[in-house]
Amino acid sequence: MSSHRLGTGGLVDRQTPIGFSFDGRPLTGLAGDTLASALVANGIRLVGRSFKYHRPRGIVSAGPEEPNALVEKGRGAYREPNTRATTVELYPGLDVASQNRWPSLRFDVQAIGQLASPLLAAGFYYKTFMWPAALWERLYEPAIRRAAGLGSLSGAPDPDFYEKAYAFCDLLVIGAGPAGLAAALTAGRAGARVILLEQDFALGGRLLAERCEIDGMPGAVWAREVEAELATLANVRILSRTAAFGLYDGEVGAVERLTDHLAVTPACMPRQRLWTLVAAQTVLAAGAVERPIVFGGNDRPGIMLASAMRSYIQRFAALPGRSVAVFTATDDGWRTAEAFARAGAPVAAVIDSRRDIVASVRALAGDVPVFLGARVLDAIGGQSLSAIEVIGDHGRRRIAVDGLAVSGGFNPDLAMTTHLGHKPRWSETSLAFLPDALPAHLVVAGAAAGRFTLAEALADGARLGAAAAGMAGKPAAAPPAWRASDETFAVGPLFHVEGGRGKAFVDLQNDVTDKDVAQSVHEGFVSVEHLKRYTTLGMATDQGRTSNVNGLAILARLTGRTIPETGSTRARPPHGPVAIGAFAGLHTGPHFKPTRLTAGHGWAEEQGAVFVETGQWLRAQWFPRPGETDWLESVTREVQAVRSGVGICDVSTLGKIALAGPDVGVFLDRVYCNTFSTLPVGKARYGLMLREDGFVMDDGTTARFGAEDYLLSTTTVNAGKVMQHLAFCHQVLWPELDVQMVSVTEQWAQFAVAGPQSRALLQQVFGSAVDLSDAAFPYLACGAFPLGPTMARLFRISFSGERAYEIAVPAGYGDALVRALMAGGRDLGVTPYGTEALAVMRIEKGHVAGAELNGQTVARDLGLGRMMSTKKDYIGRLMAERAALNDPDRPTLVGLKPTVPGVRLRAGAHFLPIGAAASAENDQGYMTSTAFSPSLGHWIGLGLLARGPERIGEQIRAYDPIRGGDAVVEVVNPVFIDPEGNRVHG
Amino acid sequence: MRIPCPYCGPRDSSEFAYLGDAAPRRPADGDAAAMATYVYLRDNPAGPMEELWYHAYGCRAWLVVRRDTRDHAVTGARLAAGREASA
Amino acid sequence: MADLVHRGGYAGLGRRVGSGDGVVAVEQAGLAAATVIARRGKAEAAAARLGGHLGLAVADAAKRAVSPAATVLGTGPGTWLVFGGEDPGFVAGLAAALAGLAAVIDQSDGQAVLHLSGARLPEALEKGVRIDLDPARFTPEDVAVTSIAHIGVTLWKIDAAPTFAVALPRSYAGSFRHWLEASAGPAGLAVVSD
Repeated sequence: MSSHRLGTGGLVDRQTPIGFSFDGRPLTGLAGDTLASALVANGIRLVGRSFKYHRPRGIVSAGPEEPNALVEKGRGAYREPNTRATTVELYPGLDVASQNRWPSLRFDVQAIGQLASPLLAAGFYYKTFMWPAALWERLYEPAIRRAAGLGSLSGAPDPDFYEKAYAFCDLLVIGAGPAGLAAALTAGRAGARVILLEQDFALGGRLLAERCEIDGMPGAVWAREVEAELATLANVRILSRTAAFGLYDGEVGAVERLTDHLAVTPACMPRQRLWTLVAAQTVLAAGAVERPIVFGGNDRPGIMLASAMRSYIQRFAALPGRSVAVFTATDDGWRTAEAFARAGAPVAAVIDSRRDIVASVRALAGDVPVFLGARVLDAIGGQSLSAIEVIGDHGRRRIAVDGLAVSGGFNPDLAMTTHLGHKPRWSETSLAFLPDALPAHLVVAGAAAGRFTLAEALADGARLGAAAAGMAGKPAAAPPAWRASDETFAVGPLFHVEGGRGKAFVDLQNDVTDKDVAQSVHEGFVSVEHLKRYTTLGMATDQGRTSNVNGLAILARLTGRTIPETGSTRARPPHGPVAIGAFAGLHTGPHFKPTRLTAGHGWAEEQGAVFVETGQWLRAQWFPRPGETDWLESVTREVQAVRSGVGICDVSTLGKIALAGPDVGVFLDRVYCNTFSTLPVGKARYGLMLREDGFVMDDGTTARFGAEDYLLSTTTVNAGKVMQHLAFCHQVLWPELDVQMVSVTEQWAQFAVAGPQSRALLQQVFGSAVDLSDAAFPYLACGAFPLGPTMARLFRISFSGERAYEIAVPAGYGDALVRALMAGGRDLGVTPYGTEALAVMRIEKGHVAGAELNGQTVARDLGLGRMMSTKKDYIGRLMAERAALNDPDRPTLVGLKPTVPGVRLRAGAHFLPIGAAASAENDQGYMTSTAFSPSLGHWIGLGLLARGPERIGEQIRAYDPIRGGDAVVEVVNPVFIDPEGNRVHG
Repeated sequence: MRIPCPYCGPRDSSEFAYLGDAAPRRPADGDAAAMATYVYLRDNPAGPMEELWYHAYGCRAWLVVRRDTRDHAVTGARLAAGREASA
Repeated sequence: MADLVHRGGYAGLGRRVGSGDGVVAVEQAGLAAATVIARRGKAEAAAARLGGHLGLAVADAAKRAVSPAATVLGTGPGTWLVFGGEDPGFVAGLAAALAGLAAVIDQSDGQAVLHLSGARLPEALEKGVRIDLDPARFTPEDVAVTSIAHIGVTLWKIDAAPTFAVALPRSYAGSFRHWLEASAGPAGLAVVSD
């Protein structure tokens, strides 16, 4: 048996030993141990080195408030730093390492830094490493980066996966101690939907660690019985290993640990589950956290919170020391003396700062030496506590000890009540912050409310559980009156003992001392929020649970204020550390957002297409053929194939909105800058949609299939935005218009068929029954025609500048259609083309697209000013008339070509007059889109140039310093080929 | 935060797109100065406010939601369509 | 060109027959569907006419009305998503019946529909559905248009087993499968599609 394991007692299983290792040293614990309790049972006191000064540190607590015992858990990609040993369940093969020390815990070279401690006081980084400035990047920053932080990451991607879940209930109980169990059981028996959260692996809270009785049975047994009854209630859900981390508007966030306690992770099991819980009522029964006392050398290994020592003895049967003293300002600390006595290791002394002790409490110490009205001034020891210096009426006395149990008071764990900004109030009787104003539908029970006795916890839980059940329409029968064993609660004020020789720590995790608080005040940082940021007191994993109150008590005294006047910092979620992966859930990597696939996607994959993300969609970018070595080769081939023969391109991703109703024409006239009420049935028209501020929002082609039947198209990425905008116009601006609209983007699979042979291909596919002659189906016509078992829609529109059509079928036929087009066009040399070739061709034709519709351009900039109707009101009309938006000096659309053939043009290059300095003052615009034109044999570009249309023929400089581009270009007509537009007409 | 959609019932705010203050009205009379105010200027009250929210992942209705900007308490929501009648 | 073959939204994603112990998902392919949107001021009349045409009581609310031949789902004010069987004339019949009262737009190919069942289904749904699906609060008469894993869905209950139906735009079928496999897979998922 381990050196400090007690032979009897505790909630550990002596029949199930568990092998683990700490810093490579093999050790044995028992089932039911945490890592911390197993270390205590093995007599291991030194568990880490402190953050700044690398002082030897030991375990301080037995719960999530642990500031010192931060270890690295796991190996390889699973390695997680800064894990609190007190929250790690022991499992076979657990392999942990201490942190922040080199080469070893016993001998840490960086401890030499303590000699520099006067230079490392609070805020030192605001005052140092500034001069000379040249050394900042070369020396100071790299050095600080290496030294900063606590623990190290594996650097490998997280091998675990996580999931999210959502649940609803009538009553959410946070904490399964006596108050929480009472509330859950009362409400559960009444039939209310209850969710009970407990961050520990066992339910019971303090009942697991204390000698107490409920209804004559040990508290731990009562907890087991309540848990068993709750498990039989179908309306109650118990989530253990689940920590509530935040109160948000109307919901609680919690994280459930599923595999962190398992030696081997089962396949398909997420590591953690992030819960969003929506409760009609919430009872916070999170208990209270003991606070230590600030005195010289108070960080020596072996100094623990008094209740934690009791927990190790009574729950884990592990002895934290053989000759321990108790230093307390509370009645509760005396119970630790009793626990040690019962374990066969009576304490060396009880030191209480108070003088008046109730007889029943006084009796807990038996006949060990007692010092009343006394204080511990200094704790002496290096890597382990060896003695304490006590001052009081007796003078000064040194006592040899190997441990010190400290109890300064209890802080209700009420952080959740403050997440939405509600402030607690200070109680002079409890010497703690108690919940005051509360968020809606949240109440606090037991120690978390400052009601520290067991009887109060049980009564609160029963009362609040019944109330919650009643509010859910399930009134509870009279709640049972559980009888609790007697206990008292009293505390005296003792936050800080001054005058010790050793460093007196306020915040152990961040190495903040009482002198740092004084320095902060000296430098004017007297607000409690400034104290926190300047000294880092209260930051990092423990969020100041064992340091905040002592810190602000010292601040209050130094600034001559009371504690209420000083206030407390606002706590924000998360209350404890939560893995980022848990917040992401399944949405990581390629699943960060959904991926949308067109009906033709499978076929395109078979063709070996290279895909590009466009919004949520995947679109084929180009279709490489065997032997082609780079994308430019493939894209050039595709463009040439379209312009000389026929090509097909999947354009299903563009938004399509069906509009209907008597006022549909009026509605479209108001949302487009040009007119659509006059569009004849069977025709399509290009439209430009403006924002209300006059800038171009989106463009598309709208077709009319019937008197009250329009189909509006949008760009791929703006489909959702346009739908929202149209819904706004319809519902908010003009609800008097009788118009109906719905997205049909998904209903239709749509393909562009483009090139001189496009009509031949379509005639083949439709068969002779359909007349596609130019007379019957001219440019900009649209119509519906039977196609095999379905009806297809055909549009004669062109983005490429060639004779072109778009054919749409219900999406279920999309795959079949593209294969039919490819089969039917084999003799015509039909070529699939992707978005790159699409872009090359539209640039050759000077069509504006997303790069030009960038949110900063107006119609006039794009050469489309004549589209803006003067005969009707429409969204954006008035603001587009602003003088500044009609200034001819504005960058306006032109074409660009290099004066030296072979020179590559790049979008983003800025235009400067030749010979002018490259400065913002001389900037005259920028290149928006570029392409290699197979038709012309050189690079071409579209751009926005001040007074552009007036400067055709002029030579300017295209300057791209980021990519090393600097070319002379000639300003040309943006329509590079077929400027009369003859080819679209066939 | 949950928004009580009159059609769908209480829903998480992530189902909605937020636009802003519901009070401004689009000027219909061609006054450029009034339009500029409508497009650019907004009050920023600390307290209850009526806001336009679009139930993008739900019924696609635009709602006028009454919400306190200080504590996010939502006290009511109604369909925006026909808000003139109920205003 | 007579034989264009029709494919459902989940086709090509692979028929996966896992254990099916926990959740079974079966695609409902080839259903006729339409969005029905009432004309201004005509929501009540449109509901009555729609109900009359299908032999159902249709409300202007997030409610479901069902017969062997059709399912009517309230998806927004004055708006319904209507599923028929495999009758090719279903949508045209709706349009004719509702002429003058509502717009009828074909959505037969726009939505992919799954029926979900199994003992572990409620637990799987909790991992993506952000509304309360407790049997007392969501019944076979209810409809919810909401989102799962950032995908807009229409969700309703077929029966109290519970069997749920979920419709979503077909382009998202693959992403929805991923969510379904991650959430229901550990419990034993079987997916049946073309």
